[in-house]
Amino acid sequence: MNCRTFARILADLQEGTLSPGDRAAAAAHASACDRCRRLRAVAEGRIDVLSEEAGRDLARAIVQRTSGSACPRAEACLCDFVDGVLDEVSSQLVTVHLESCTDCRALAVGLAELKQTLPEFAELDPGRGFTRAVVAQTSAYRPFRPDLRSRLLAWWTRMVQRPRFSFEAAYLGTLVLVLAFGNPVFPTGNLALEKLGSSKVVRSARGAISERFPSGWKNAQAPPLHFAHGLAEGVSQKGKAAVSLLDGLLTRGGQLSASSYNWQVRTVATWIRQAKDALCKLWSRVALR
Amino acid sequence: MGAAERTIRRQDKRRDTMDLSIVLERCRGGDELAWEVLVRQFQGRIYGVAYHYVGNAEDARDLAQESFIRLYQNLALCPDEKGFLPWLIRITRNACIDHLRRRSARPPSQDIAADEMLDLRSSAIDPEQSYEADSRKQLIYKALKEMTEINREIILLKDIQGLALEEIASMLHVPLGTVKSRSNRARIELAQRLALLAGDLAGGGVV
Repeated sequence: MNCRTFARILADLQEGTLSPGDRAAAAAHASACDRCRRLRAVAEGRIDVLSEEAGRDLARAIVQRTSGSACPRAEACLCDFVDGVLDEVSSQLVTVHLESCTDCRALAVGLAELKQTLPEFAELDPGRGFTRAVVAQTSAYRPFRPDLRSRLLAWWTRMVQRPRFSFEAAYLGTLVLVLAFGNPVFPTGNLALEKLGSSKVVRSARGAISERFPSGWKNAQAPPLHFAHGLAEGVSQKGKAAVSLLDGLLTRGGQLSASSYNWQVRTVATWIRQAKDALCKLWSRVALR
Repeated sequence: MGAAERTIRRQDKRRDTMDLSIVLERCRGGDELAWEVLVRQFQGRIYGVAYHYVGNAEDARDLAQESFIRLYQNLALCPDEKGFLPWLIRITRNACIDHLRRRSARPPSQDIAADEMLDLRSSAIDPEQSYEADSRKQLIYKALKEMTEINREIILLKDIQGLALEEIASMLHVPLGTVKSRSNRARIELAQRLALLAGDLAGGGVV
């Protein structure tokens, strides 16, 4: 067997389809010929003919002459590759490309470093006094205007929390009562009651009742007037009870004033006496009519 | 460390972890303390954004203040939680763009004496000087300054401030796909510039 015949039957030899005689002849030739023995080793993958670098160059040359450079395609995927959002297959392809392409590998390293470093630029120190300056400037603005209810509530809370509020409320309440009903402790305070008794409204009411029941409302038989009469009697009784209560207070106030000579107590006692007199007049007038 | 100091530090930590929605609610109610906390929490971010737009510490400080004033005036309108930072960055960006337009329309006066200019400086720290200690950061900052305006803006919003692509698309009024491709291009441009600058530095070039 010569070298040409050995090269022709090499594929059959690897596949094991040769006859035993041909196989023995091929083995005998390979043991005698260095070139054919090496060729067999290369075909069986036992010897790597190309160095690593030569293999990369060969692959690049083939890709360059066929589809064009793969670097632009790899560049387009590099950001997603670095961010870890590239799909698995593309990621493996890029990994293989990066193993063979130093430029793209350097770019990927740079991108990974930027991904870590850039967020550190997010915050910068504006220097001392910045916050104070902002707060000072914004305090000049008052954009918030709460609604009327909130403002009223806030005002009321502030008012109630004032220590003098109870005094002021008492004063205001007294003032309103005095304005509405007259001064009960003033010597001429009975004038208000007189006025009330002879006021236009009361007179017209009395006139209307007299017209309707000429015999007098006390003796009227009509049920509503019975009720009104009972009410007046009840009020009269209450008035009498109030007068007796005032009498008791007056007695106690007098004793207190006698023992302590306190002019305030004496003043209060005088007021109570005047109030009692006024009430007596009022209730007797109501009861008589 | 004294007990008082430890207490203050604990309170500082608590301030950093305060719920933004609660702080905003208090601010809307007119609480000055809450407003101060909000300013402290975001001043670094806002100053950073302004500085990267205008490239000048003084102007950036003024613009950051202006942004906070705008925020204060529009507290009732600002979104809560997630949407707050993008909204605030948008306000800052608008203020910076207005400022840059004004500046390009009316260049700064050149007749101020140099010593008077020194007096006008405030205590604002120039980030360029603060990066001196970290040469790598300085290099990145220089590469950023050399980038085109569009790419720099994308890097600022996405990679530095960490905004989502959708938010950037809404802010810049461009489609989402455009933002994504621009972002990839910008990052590659920055990485390439950085490699170039680092090569110059290693080769003895002046950076």
